[in-house]
Amino acid sequence: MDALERTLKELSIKRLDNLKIEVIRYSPADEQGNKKIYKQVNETLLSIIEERKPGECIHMTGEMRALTDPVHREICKKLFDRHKSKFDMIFYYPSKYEISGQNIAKYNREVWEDISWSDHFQIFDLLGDGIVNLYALPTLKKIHYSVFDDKYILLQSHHDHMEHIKEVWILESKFLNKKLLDNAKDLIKKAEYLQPILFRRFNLSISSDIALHTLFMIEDEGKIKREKLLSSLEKVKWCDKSIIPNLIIMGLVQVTNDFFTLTEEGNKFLKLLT
Amino acid sequence: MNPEEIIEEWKSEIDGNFNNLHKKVLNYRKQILKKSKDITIWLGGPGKGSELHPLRELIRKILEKYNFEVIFSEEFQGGADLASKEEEELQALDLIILLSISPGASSEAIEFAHLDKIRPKFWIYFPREFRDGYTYRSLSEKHRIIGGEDTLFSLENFKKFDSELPIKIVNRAISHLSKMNLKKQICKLTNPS
Repeated sequence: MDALERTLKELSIKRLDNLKIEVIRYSPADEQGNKKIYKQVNETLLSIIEERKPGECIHMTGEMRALTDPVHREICKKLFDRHKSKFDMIFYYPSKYEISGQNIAKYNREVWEDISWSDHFQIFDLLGDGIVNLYALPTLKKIHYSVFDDKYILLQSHHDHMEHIKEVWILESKFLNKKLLDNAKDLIKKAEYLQPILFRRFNLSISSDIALHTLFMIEDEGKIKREKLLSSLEKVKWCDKSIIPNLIIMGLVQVTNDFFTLTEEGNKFLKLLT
Repeated sequence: MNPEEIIEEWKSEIDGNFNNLHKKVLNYRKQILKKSKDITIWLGGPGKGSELHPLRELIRKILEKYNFEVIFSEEFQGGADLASKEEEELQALDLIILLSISPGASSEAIEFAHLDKIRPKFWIYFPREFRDGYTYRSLSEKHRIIGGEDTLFSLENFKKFDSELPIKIVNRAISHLSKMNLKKQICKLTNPS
């Protein structure tokens, strides 16, 4: 049994020979190959969106990694602007974590490793504007895929959750697209829709006066003790102190032995705004 | 106190509060507030027949003090309610703020919570006194469109013209400006051409 058959079997799809499934492109489990496939998917989506609405589009993912691709984010925006249609995206979010913008951002940093604060901000901006519908599934599914245009499938082989290099196929099959679409819709019913406000609120905290105040205080002192920083915030009425963990989560600030310092990203952030 | 005195007192408290921030933040605020007239805020709340309507007018006036453009639904494109508006008209709005301090406004909050096109721009300010009630629980637990101290306030104190709510709403509007500025700067960073 080859890898494609094995992968489809995991989705309870058997008897490959009886199905009309055209393999448009295949990538072995290597980074360059995977990049080329995602590029092709983006190009295909873009050309379809230029002409028409690409049917129902759903990503059934582990870590919503598609959103870390700036080109794909632009495609999501184009789909929304041109056709008032959205990608539905399902991702694995462990039930032990309460749902909040802060917790989701923290979880994202763990699974996305090298994401920059600006990319993270842009992802949350997209979600905060409701351009993509995001659903949190408490169980990790073995097989991840995307469906669009009523006939295309981007299928990934079973892989370790944190390992984002795997075998990938672009397939064309109306039957398979429908089957996976229905499968994804069932999963959406079991998942929790994440309201845009979660992401908006988090992003607003990063760009708020209090965030800037915190960063400038740290910049002035080089490193500042937690008590001194918190005491400066005490003087500001109705001030949201959850700012500080958010700045740490975004990688702008780090804390060692109760002292706060700016990271290189934090310095860049301040330079960008002032 | 007359409305002008209340507004001046609020502005003084808002500016005084922010004077406790780092001086570079104050400079930054001055810069971004130059763009506030580009921001249109739809302000919902008690209608003209309600005894609480003057409070809504005061919130409008304090936002206008910072040069934000504020409209009431009654004045918006013929006066029909927001839910019936065409998407193009809603796109002209940058922020939709609702003071959920009357039965009508609370109903609007529940209704708007369902509207996909409104939700991303929608901020509901809710009295702390009614946090245990059905409306708040529905908005926070079922619709997850509300939550957090930044959108709660004391209605009793607000009726006595306390500044908590105006500080939070003005802060929200300025935060929106700041976020738009950050987005613009990130765009320049990622697309230098």
